[in-house]
Amino acid sequence: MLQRASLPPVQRMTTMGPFAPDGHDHLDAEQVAAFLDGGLSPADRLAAESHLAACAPCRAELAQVRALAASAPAPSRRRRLPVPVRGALAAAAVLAAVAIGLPLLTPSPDDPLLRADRQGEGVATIEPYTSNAGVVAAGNALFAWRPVAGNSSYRFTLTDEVGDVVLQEVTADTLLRLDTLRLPAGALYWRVDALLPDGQVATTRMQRIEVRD
Amino acid sequence: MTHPLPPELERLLSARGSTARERAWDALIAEWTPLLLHVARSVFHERDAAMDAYAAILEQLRQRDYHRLRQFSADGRSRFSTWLVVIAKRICVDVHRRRYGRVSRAESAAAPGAAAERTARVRLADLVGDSLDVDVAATEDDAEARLRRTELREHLSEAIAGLAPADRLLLALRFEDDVPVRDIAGMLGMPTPFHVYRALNRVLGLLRTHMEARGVTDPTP
Repeated sequence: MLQRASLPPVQRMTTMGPFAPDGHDHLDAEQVAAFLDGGLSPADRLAAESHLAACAPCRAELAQVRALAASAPAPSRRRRLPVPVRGALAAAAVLAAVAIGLPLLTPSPDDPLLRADRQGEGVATIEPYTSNAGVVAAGNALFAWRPVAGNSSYRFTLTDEVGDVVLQEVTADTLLRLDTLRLPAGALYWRVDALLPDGQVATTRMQRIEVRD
Repeated sequence: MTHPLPPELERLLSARGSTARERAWDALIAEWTPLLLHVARSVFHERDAAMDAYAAILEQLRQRDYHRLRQFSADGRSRFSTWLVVIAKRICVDVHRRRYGRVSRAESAAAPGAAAERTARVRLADLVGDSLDVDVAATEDDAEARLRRTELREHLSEAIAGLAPADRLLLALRFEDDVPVRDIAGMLGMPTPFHVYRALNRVLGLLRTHMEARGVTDPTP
């Protein structure tokens, strides 16, 4: 195992990158990467945040690197297998996530639920229950839907008006109460999806709600 | 937290002899070429230019006995993939600059950036003061109104300067750079966009309190 040398603190912000308004120091490559991966010490993070708050070029680089890293292909030895539309693998993964209590990440374009939904094939309907004409309380929102026969897990997704995912959870229940999270006031959209054992997809499709204080 | 080195990088940096080193280098490149091309294509849409940039990345990574790679291995604060994206992007930007020239200081300081900052301040002031209007493109020449607007901008700047660095960064990303909330969450390590919304609401509340403490209860000039 290679030995790692210790490094001086982040105050040594040297001008290594191409983002150099004259006379200004910027984050070096290691600092940018460490910031994104949560590897800076608290003191170094504070210094980096202070610099970033005042430096548009460094912020731009941070955003670009993050987007590139998130969309980059994995090295060949770690390339992910596509999730099968049918079979026990998908169902087992969902159930494992439910058991561990991990929320699913935002689905990739290859997600079988999204793919089937876009193609309109094999999409059954999950009937949502709405009350109060789609108005929910910010501190006590309740979502419910009719169960689908033969299904044991549902993916609940909450998005804002521009489509950003606010919350995503996998649950075995047909009821989800958000009483510990205070939702932002205004319009939000929710949907529930289920991947059935036979490969069919069921969904409520997008439902609009109005969150009020 | 120290991130482990990818095995192909460890093999390269510990390889003895030119043959072993070449083999290890080939193995490293084989694994990470897709990522490097991904970055090169993000800067150069034309294939030949992207391949030139890719070649430049490889050349720079090899220089001085893989100096940059050794620098990374000594750091350990990030994943290799993240660090490689940063390095590759910077090299591509340098290549782009050499090919097409650097944007002049006058060009970079021209209207788009300045106007964007002004727009950002107006939006931020709108959110803090509801219908606060600090639009500099004033049509009336009432001296008192102009003075009021100047005071409001100064109070807002003072309020922002008093925030913690993380809060100032959040405001800059959202209101100056117009970064989507989902991307802000990823950049700042927040679990969901909802956490970003909560943080923004808290920060705007702090600004509102600061303004009210300075007698700014009426947002109109």
